[in-house]
Amino acid sequence: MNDVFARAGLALGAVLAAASLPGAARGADTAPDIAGIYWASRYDAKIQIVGGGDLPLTAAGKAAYDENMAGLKNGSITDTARKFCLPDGLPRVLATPYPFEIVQAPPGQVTIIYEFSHQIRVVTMDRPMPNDKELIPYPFYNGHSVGHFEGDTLVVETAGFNEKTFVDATGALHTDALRTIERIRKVSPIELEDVITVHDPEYYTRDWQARFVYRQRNDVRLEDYTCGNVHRDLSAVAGVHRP
Amino acid sequence: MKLTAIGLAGFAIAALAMPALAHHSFAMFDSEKKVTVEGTIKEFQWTNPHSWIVLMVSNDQGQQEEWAIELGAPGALARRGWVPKTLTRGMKVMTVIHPLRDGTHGGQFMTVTLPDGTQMGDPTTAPNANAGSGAAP
Repeated sequence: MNDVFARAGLALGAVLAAASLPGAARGADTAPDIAGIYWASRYDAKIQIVGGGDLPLTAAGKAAYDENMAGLKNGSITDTARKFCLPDGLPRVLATPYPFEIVQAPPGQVTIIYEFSHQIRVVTMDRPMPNDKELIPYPFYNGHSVGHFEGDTLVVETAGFNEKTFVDATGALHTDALRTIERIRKVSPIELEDVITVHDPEYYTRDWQARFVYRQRNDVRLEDYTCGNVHRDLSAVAGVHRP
Repeated sequence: MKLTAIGLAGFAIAALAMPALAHHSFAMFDSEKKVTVEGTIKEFQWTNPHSWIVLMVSNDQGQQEEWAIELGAPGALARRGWVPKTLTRGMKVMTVIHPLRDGTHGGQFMTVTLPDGTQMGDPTTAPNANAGSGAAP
């Protein structure tokens, strides 16, 4: 009899201890704290895919990419994200060499504020992704995002994109059927990682990932961004070329 | 009392006209006239409060003119089966419009016939100018 009570007591103690460890199942009020200001320390104009190599393009995807690159080169196609500071779209916005801020507010939402072109991504945390019929009338540059926490990771699904954005600064493209999943988490006390999975079967033969790592910089304050003007000093960001 | 079909249609048109006037005036279009315009799509703008077809049309002298044809909002179009890529750049289409009264190159959308013969829009109903723009999801 004593033995049973002792074992029950130990089991109860173990459960209580496990519940207080980070990474254990959490309610909405114990979501991981990923709020803060983040800034990449390197910039890649050409998106670097996990596993290396070139983008796994379909024939249609390659034709579209080649046409876009040629148009950008001869001036018949405009990079509106750069010329008019229209939103970058995904995954291009993740490559930003400017700081951004993650705000875990208001309730039911995570808000990501980018200094570059004043972009704001609203991640809805308390409603499911709208269905395709609901998304069709509202193709957004940065898509519609819904998210949830899995342990220490913020998982963000995005769909409902328009076709006006590039995948990266070289002009790689996507269709409006693009769907992405990001897994965002702290990988050290001062670093945040965003691994994005890109799904767009018309242009890419398979889903592929890109990984972005940012330094937490709560000493930095987001500044104005006015299209066409010179902005903050990016000399600390490797890979940024200023003409 | 039995409501006739014509009576019901009259009521429906009157009900639609009220919100339309609240948005913008359709007096700029000649609702008595229907004009057929054939051309090549330069752009299909899927935007609020009105979507637009920008059409390149050959005139009598063989020169290209740009026409702008106004449709409803994406929400209203989507309910009728439209998607952003229903019309794409380069498509050769035939449209029927209520032309602008001032004679400039544009009008209010009535129907479009796609290259495969599909017709979008209904030539027999009164033009529904109500943008019907609801909140984004």
